[in-house]
Amino acid sequence: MSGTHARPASGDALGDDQGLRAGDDEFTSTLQAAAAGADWAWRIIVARYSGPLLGYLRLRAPGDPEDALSEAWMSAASTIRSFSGDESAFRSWLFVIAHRRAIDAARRRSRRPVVVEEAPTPDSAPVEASAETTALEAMSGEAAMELLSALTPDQRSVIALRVIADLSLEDTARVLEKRVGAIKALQKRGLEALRRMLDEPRFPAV
Amino acid sequence: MSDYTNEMTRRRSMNNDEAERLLTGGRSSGSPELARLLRGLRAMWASEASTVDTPVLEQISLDAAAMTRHAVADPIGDPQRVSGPVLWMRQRVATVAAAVAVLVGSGAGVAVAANSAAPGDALYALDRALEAVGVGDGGAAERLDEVRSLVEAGELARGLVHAPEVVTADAAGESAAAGEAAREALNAAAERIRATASGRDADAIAELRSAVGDLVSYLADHNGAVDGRRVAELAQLIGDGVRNGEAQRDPGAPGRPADPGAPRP
Repeated sequence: MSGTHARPASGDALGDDQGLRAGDDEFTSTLQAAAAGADWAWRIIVARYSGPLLGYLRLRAPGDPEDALSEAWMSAASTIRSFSGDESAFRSWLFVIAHRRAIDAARRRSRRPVVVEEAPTPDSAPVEASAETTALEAMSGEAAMELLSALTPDQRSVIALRVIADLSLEDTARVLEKRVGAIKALQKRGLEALRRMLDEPRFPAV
Repeated sequence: MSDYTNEMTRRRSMNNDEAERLLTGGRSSGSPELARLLRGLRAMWASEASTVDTPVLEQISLDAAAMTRHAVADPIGDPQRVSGPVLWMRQRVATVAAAVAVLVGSGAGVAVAANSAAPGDALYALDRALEAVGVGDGGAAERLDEVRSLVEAGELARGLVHAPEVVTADAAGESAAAGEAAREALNAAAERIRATASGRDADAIAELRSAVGDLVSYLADHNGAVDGRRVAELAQLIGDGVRNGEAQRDPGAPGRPADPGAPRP
């Protein structure tokens, strides 16, 4: 089957970092290959976006984020042929799907007995050594997620989409089906709430 | 800077520019701790290898590729030939089929319709819907896109469940009761159609197609301002069309399931 063919030599330029560089032909060719069912293309795409997707889903669908992630990818696979656009649009499109799957998961959970679970964080979290690493060393990933979990659902979604998903203001508004002005207000209030929480003694300074 | 000044800086409300700067990875003299926290969160989730097991990613990749290949190679669709993740996803997405499922009469009419003018009618209606929804309106557009994908794949007889979700997405400003009534009516229409789809005569199918076409057109034309009561009325007309078909076919007899394999909502 053609879709299982190895990645063509011309695709090697996609890079060792498995990246999809925005704005160049590599993204387009990889997306086209994925739409045709090429395993290699899906490996690149799934590897590239699963981290941010799971981060968002862990905040929006904490009961079963892995299932929601899988469902989001299957939804994307079933409709990818209808997508057109650049990498930024693709990222936004993926998070629209993930957001919907999170809503589906929340609906399913609402029909089941409630089991309180804390949003897990990456176990190993081998974040590259940097100033960011220092921040996370000072404040555990668990504590950081706890901070986000304390926000209102809308604030949490906005912050997660802006920070974890790296979406623009406009794309975040698109995903959440809100006006840009509403997103601005939500992110400002969310950040103010985070800043207040950081002042609390139980959260060590970062 | 004195402690007092720091405290005052911290307590002042944040303006939009500062919020935007923080969220895009910039630094903030007024909120250095918050800036570090956000940069840390961004870095934590950017490394996919640290957040998802490699075998899980591999399986997802292969499942996604298989599903896409199936859609490419078999646009009509044959549920008997698929299994595993593809079948699982089909069953899951099958509940998406919305009003389109009955645009072509459903049941036994599906295969014929998929190769005749009927799916063109359905796609035309959906194209109108997608145009009306616009690129920027993610939720409803994505839902309708899924419906379109199912139509293209020949999965026309599976369900009518996502139409209520389109209503949910678009019913901003509507009362919760009206939206709920619309969703219930759509679900009821879906259930009735699934149970009685086969054995219809041409007039009954035409009537049903017209009723569903009206609903899809309404959803397309009123995206963003859907009146739940109107949706419920249109769904009721679909149900009436089904009942009329039942009466013409076999007065007093219960409907015969057309697609026993179809998942229930």
